[in-house]
Amino acid sequence: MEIKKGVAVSPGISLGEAVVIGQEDLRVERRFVKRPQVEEEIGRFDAAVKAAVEEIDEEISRFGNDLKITRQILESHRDMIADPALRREITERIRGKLNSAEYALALVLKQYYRSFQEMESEYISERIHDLQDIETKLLRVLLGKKRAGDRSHEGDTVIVGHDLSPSSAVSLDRTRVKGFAIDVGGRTSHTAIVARAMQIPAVVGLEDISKMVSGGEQVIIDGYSGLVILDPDRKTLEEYRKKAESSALFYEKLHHEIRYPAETIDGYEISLAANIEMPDEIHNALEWGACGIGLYRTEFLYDRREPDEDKHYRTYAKAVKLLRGRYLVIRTLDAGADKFHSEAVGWTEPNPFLGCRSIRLCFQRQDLFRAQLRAVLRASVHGKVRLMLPMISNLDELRRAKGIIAEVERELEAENVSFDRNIPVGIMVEVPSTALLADFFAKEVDFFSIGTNDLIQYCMAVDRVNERIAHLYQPTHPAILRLIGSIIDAGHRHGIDVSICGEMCSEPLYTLLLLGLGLRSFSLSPISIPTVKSLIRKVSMADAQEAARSCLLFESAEETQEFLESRVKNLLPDFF
Amino acid sequence: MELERSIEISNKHGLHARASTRLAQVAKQFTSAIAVSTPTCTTEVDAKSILGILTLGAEKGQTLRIRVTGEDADRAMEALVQLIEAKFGED
Repeated sequence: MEIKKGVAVSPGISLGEAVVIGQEDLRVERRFVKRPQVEEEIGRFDAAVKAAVEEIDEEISRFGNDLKITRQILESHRDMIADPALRREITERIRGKLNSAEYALALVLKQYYRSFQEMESEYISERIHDLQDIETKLLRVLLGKKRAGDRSHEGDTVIVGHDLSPSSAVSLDRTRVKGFAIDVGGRTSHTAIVARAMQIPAVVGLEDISKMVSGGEQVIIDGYSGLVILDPDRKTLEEYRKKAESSALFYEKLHHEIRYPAETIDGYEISLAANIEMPDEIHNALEWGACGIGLYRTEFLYDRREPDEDKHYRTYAKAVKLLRGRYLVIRTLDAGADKFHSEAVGWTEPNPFLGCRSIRLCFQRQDLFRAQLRAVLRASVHGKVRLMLPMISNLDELRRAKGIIAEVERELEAENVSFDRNIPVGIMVEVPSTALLADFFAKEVDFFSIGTNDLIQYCMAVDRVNERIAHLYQPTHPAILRLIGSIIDAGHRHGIDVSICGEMCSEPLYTLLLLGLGLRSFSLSPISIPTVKSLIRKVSMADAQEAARSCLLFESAEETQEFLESRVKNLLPDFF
Repeated sequence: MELERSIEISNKHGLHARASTRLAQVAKQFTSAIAVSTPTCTTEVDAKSILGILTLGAEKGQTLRIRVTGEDADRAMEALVQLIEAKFGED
């Protein structure tokens, strides 16, 4: 048994047999054929094309009606494989240069890769992924390898790989593929987003899992804790099998809750909104019962290159329209220590968490900031848009950002571009200085969203990704509880909305406590909504306040943790 | 019979994967040889080849030159023009 820890990006538990995907195992040799074998080699290529086309046609008939976009991707791939020009170029190489079919295919496609790479249009240059997909598909058939998820025996599989492209993810057999374990990526990677949209448990950032697994092993993926267990022993397997069953049953039960309002037994209505990274997740969020989007992280837009204003606008407008009148909180760029950041500013941060990130970066690169603000304002005519500024650490910063917003508004007015003149502007409360001065800030903003992830890190001086000290990251530390309570109070005293969008909010263990501290608005991962809601529907506000009062008296995080565990176990016995 | 015509690409994302797929699918219905090119990419490509069309990288607003040679050239040209004018059924 071997255990690897990565980043949990899509919740749930899955057990299955490992299927390794990726091109590393499809390396092409520079192979040549003898002249008399030329026709036979061409025949091999034609047979591979035929088999691959049949395979895709079968996929189309299986998923085609499910998603229109999937069908279109698959049709394009099929036609690319059967492309007459591709066949012409490959047969010329086999005949003229005596290349093997595999070698000819790799060389011909390489030329297409090159010409696609040079394209300016993002829509077309992205087709490189399609080329990779079709190359893999044809090589698999030529080399006689099995496709991912294509096993002769029945049973659940988990996909293990270095990376997973969105197009290969959607072409997997959803009835069999139960989980993803991937070497690269973080919360906003393509795999993460696709996995959440497909509701398949996933762990990414595992570094070398694809090299550790050869295929056929039993693998457990724990999409809650980020653990991946290879060749589990009998006891672990049994434990996880039970967990998987009860969590499946549990979610099935919860699904019935979706149509009920999030209301305590004494009639307090709580708003449960979702955190998302891409408009495509909205469908999913609404399905789980979100009343709006409490945090739309826009960093994904900066994934490959700097987006222009129109790209921002198109994305936001799409999101607002999908929400049909529900609210959308758009957070401006919150980039920190990633690749985009170092390219945007031209230096690397010696201490990224305390460096020139998010709003600080936006002040340095005002062109980026203004383009995003213009787009958010333009999109505000399509529905209920709110603007949120991250990493504000003092009042001057807030006033400076608001000054820029006002300038951008005047610019739009002068251009006769319409926007919501009363667009609510709020801040993330995630730096302790801002948390302590929440009463000052509350007079100058329309809402607070407490970013507990960063607030806890900054407050306790703990990098929670650092394994040696991660245990010091304590959401229930007495200092954190006091701080959260005082931010909520300050906001409510000044009549503004206060919500929490950190992971603490997605964790049912803390629901009771947060309610008791006065929180009326939660923003959480879509799949956590039903669980948190079912808890809310089982408690009274008086109980929650009582619980919070007890917690505030504890001197250690552990005491609060234990207290809440026993309370929540009674309320939601199925969850544990 | 040989026909030639230039037509502006007016769908939103130009000749991206789906539009190219549709164009090649329509072209393949005819026996005539069909070649397409753009002002920036003057080397003609086979309109029956989706990969070839994609190498044009034709975006919205660009002009596509279509050259059709063969017995059913008139019907082929008509079908292609109709498809492009209808923005490939998008929007």
